[in-house]
Amino acid sequence: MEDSRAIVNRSAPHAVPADAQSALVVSRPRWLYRRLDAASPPLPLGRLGRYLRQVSADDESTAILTRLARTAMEIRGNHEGDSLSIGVTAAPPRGNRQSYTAVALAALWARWEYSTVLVEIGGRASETGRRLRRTVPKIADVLTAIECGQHLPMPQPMTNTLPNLDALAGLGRFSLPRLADSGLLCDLSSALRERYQRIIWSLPGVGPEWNVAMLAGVVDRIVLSVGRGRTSRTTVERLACEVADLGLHPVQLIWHQ
Amino acid sequence: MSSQHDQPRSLLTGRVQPPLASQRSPRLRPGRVRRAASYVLASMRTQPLLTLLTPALCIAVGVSLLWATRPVWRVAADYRIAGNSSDPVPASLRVEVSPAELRDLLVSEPVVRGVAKSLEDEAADQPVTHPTLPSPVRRWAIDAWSSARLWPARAAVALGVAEPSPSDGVRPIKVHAGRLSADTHMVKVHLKAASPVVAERAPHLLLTAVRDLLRHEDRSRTMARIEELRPAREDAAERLRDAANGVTQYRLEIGRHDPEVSANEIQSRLIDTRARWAELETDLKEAEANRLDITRQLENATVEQTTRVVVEQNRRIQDLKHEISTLEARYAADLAVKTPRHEDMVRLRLEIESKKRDLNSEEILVIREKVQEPSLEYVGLLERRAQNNRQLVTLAGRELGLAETESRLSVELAQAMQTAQRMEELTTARQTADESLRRIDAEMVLLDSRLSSVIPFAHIALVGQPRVADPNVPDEPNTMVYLAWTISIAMLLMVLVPTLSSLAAARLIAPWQVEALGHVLPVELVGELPGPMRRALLRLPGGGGS
Repeated sequence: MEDSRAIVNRSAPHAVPADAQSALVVSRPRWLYRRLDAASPPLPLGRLGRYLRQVSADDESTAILTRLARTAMEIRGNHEGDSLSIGVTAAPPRGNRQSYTAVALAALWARWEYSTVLVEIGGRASETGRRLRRTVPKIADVLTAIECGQHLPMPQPMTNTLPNLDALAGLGRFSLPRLADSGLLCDLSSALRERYQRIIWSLPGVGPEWNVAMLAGVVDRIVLSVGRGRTSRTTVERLACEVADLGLHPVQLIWHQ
Repeated sequence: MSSQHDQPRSLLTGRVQPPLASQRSPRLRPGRVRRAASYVLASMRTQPLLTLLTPALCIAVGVSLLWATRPVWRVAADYRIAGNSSDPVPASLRVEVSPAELRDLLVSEPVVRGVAKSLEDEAADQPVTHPTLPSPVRRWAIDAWSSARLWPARAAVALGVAEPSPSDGVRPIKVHAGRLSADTHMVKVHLKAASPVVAERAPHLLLTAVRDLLRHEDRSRTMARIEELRPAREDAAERLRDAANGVTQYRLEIGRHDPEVSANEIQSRLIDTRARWAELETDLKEAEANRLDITRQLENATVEQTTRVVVEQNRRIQDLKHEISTLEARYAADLAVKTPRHEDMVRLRLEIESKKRDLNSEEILVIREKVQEPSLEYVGLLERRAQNNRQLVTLAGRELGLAETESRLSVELAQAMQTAQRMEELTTARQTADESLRRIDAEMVLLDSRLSSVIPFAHIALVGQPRVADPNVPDEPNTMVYLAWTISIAMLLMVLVPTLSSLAAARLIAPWQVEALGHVLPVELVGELPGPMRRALLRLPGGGGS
């Protein structure tokens, strides 16, 4: 925690005190803003980009933001002030709108001035991963910095309108099963918890390649994104049984009509 | 009230949730059949629209198909194959058709196609009018439905999945093979037609088409057979020419003599030679008997002791006796492998006789030397023995000549018989080729006559006049049976479709199921987000948050 704040203070010596999480954004230097403004956002096109822009720029009285706010209010941490790490997953292969759920939650929390990061480890099938993987910093860079004891690289905001929302992406060697097997997942989670208040892990679809035990100590909540007529009862029961075996918080379903 | 407070409530609706089936006592659970029936009834009750629309749609489709199905009249036609006596065609030109072959011909594709074409031509010339024919709208629907039923087959052919069927298209008649009576030579065929007039007319056209087909096939077979026989005839004629040339040439080689006559002459000469040889052997036996008699008398003569003593002391006589005994032993040994008439045996016998004559001469000489004055009787015996020896030599010479003659005649006879056999083979080959050519010529004459004549095939006939049951009522489709099947299927679908729909819906989880699942597993529904299509509709009026 001390290192993280030291990083922030070094990068922004004129910033407000470090105990305020919003200071992480305010404390960024001006050259970083210029770079970000000049650079194209990671999600410029497509439905997901439009959805992100809508969530980040719409009036709060719209129905989607109303319902999203109500949903986000249901997902709370154990203690106020602690960082909250959630894992968003869905039943494979597609149609359960997992990417929309993760992006919507991240955008909403960023809009609420939480320093938020979206970590994409959903593999090749993830729509978010396909869009973020080429533009945002790699998890490999963050892990290299952690291993060398260096300063963490500053991730790139996903959109220009939400400077509090950062994104990281990993694939292959840095997918969820490999990170869990190598033990780097806990290191990455600890480092991110020190910097961000809301951490959203975009997980792979529910399947045999990973299980909830890999996320023990990494995520606080598991959110299952469910599309209408897309998810079977068996998938929900299996995920809930794994969560119950580990004694975690109940699986939280977000229903897309 | 307190019990209701203890029961779980729905998060969304706030209603009291009934206990789950797994939480009930097993004794209070209904049976499997009852649960299934309850599920089916509940599915039908909860989906009334589906429950009512499904059978209605099914019945509507069934009635539409009944209306669009082509009416069909059925006719059963019996065909008879008469015996040979009733057919005026000669037996040589008659084509035999078995009942099974006739049945296959009646339902064969070329015959049915020809009949269909004839019916279409007749319909084009004289349109059939009948009060039971459907209206133009219904005819259009019938044609459309009939054409639609052919689409799957055509699509399969277009995709290369199936082979194109020769019966593709809508036919005015359909023919099915019926019962076959091999004893009475009767064949029954069932026909279906779209009008009663066509149904009663089709059996006659079918018979005509079968006769035409048989005639055509017979003509094709005849022409094919003629084409097949032509090279065979040329081959047979060539073989006949070769055989005749061979006979003529061989006859020239053997010198215009009949080999059989020559063989008979040689055989008669050989028989004569053998007869004379037999007489000679008789004379030889007689001369040998005389020689033995003379020898015995000489041994019994007075000078016998003196002569014997002298003979035993003479070396020349001893050598001759030894040589004679050696030759006799050799003769006896050869007798096992050769006949006495063999040339070597005869020569050996002559040599033995010559030695014996030398021995006698020597004995006579010794006796004359030793016995100064033999008796007259003894001298007479010696002369008789000399005469006998001369006779024996003559007979042996004749025997040798006869043996040589017999050997030469035997060889000539064998050669003559071989020549006769070769001539017989050549003659037989010529006769065979001649017969083959005659047979082919006869068959070609028969085939030519068959080609030039028209075979009526009158022995295949139609028995009676086929009639439809009722010209005003089609036999197919049976409306009552059709409707009964339609209603049965509709009732079945009325039960099945809602049940399967409920099962499919239950397989995918719904929000209310999440609430029920939350009672037994750590699952909670935290929010519902609008879908992409509903999102625009749910945008609040005013848009600006006012």
